[in-house]
Amino acid sequence: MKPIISPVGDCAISIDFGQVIDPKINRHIRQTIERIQELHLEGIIELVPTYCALLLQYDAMLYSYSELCNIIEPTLEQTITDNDNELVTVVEIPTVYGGEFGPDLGFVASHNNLSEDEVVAIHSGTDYLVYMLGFIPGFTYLGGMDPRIATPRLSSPRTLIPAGSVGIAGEQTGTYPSDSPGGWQIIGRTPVTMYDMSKEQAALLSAGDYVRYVPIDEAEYNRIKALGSDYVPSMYKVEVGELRGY
Amino acid sequence: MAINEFKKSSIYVTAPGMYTTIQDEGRVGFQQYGMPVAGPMDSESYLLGQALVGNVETVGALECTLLPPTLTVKGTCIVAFTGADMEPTINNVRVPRYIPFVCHDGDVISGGFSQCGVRMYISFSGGIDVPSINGSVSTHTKAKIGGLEGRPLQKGDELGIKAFTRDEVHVCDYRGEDHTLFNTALYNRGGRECHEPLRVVLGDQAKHFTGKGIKTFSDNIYTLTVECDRMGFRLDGPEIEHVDSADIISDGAVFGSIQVPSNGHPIVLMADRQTTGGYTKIGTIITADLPRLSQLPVGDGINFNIVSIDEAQDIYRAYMERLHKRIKLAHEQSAYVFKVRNKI
Repeated sequence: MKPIISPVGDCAISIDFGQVIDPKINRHIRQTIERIQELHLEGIIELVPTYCALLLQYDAMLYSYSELCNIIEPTLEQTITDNDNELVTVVEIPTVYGGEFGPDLGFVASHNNLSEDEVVAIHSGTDYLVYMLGFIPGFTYLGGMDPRIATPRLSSPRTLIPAGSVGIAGEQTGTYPSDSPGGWQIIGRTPVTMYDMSKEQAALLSAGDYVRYVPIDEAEYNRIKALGSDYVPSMYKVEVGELRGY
Repeated sequence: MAINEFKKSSIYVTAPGMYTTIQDEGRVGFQQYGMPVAGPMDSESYLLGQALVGNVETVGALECTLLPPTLTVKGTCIVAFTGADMEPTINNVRVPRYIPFVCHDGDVISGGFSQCGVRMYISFSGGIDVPSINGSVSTHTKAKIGGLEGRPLQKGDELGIKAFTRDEVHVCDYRGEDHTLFNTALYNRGGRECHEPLRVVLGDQAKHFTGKGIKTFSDNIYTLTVECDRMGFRLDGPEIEHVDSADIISDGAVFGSIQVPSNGHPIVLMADRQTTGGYTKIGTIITADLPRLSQLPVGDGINFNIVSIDEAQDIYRAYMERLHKRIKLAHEQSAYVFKVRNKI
């Protein structure tokens, strides 16, 4: 469908790309953001991408709604590139699975009639698209988890889940960026800081990145943890066709 | 007398008030990473306060809710009170809002339960000295971010006030309540009364409501429930009817967006809102009416008036021009600060 622009109050617009959760729609949103940024417009205050919409806040002293629509419309026209050799960013998240770091790994395995090793192999064998960030700073909404390891949430949420915990809730997976209460099944933990408030680029991940969980042992966990914000996870470009699980 | 250099001072919190947080203009540019904006609920009163104490760049001020804190000054600082009328006092002398005052070592700043409005701002020249996170000192208590350890003030806190210099500040004696106010223009909220309708621009998701639902929304009075805080105002009133589902795929929202979950009762998203939400949004309250809404207490009724985007933006431009004029007036006032004499 052709994206639809609509007003959100007097100082923002929403662009609706179609009410579907789909990697292609998400890529279209990212391309639109790049095209808007290439225009170097004054008075664009925030761009907030979500699953299938883009919120744009602007200075309404500089543009009226209809003027802004006329500027934005052409950035939506272009067709999305849809081939397997498009490059995307993969970010490796080293993770200790099981044990005290992942107390629910055993439950996820037995719930799905798998061994713990099989759960780890499946979970770390898929690359997950970051559709959007929201809820709390640095929290990523990931897509693409293998339904073979889907597991319902805990019947009673825990009061404290440590930052870095990697969990499963239904067919979703993700990482808790900060200490938080929560009901996800915790299968592991990463020593990587997902949201570093002391940095200008505070969030490790951006919408459109792919997450690759890499199993590590406790010694490696402690080594990375000790490095703190000096640790930079591996990031590289791969072609869409080379992503795992797609 | 002219003064121009002020050393770092501090304020000691003797009583914290009902819910007092440090706010500046908020975290702009980080919503794409899930970081909520925060910032003042009533940005108009906040900005006027900043101008009155001569701050050119906006910095951390105190947002008081219903009952202000009691503060003891260490050193010398310049303060101004704006927003709700909490009958502010310096050394137990009632002082007017919208006028800057100079305070010295041992002076006590306090006030009483609000007589009108919910949020009062106490601004300081130089601003409150707390660490900046993502470009802002604003407190977001639910995310435990910003301000002082991400929480409201507590008894025993001591807040630094940054050193500052000013071109020329004239100190005048404050002689009591009959003092002539020469900045009444600063109070004026563009001539609109507290309970005039809040103007709303319908959004694309208005299509998720029946015609009857939209009419219910625009024809009835909605009441502020006890569940009104910096994140959102939950309203009570006739149920707004959806076409079918109240759920959407989560998308972005702004200050003033009105969500309607399946129970049909609207929630207005306020300063501490989450960056994204999964309920249908019927529309968004216009910028000019948000400061007024922020000052309404629990139990008050409001109603909504639907306006077109063109009307909304005409109102916006006129509102901003007027606000800038008032800010300029407040900056002019900032050169003349008053001092309370302990014996009047």
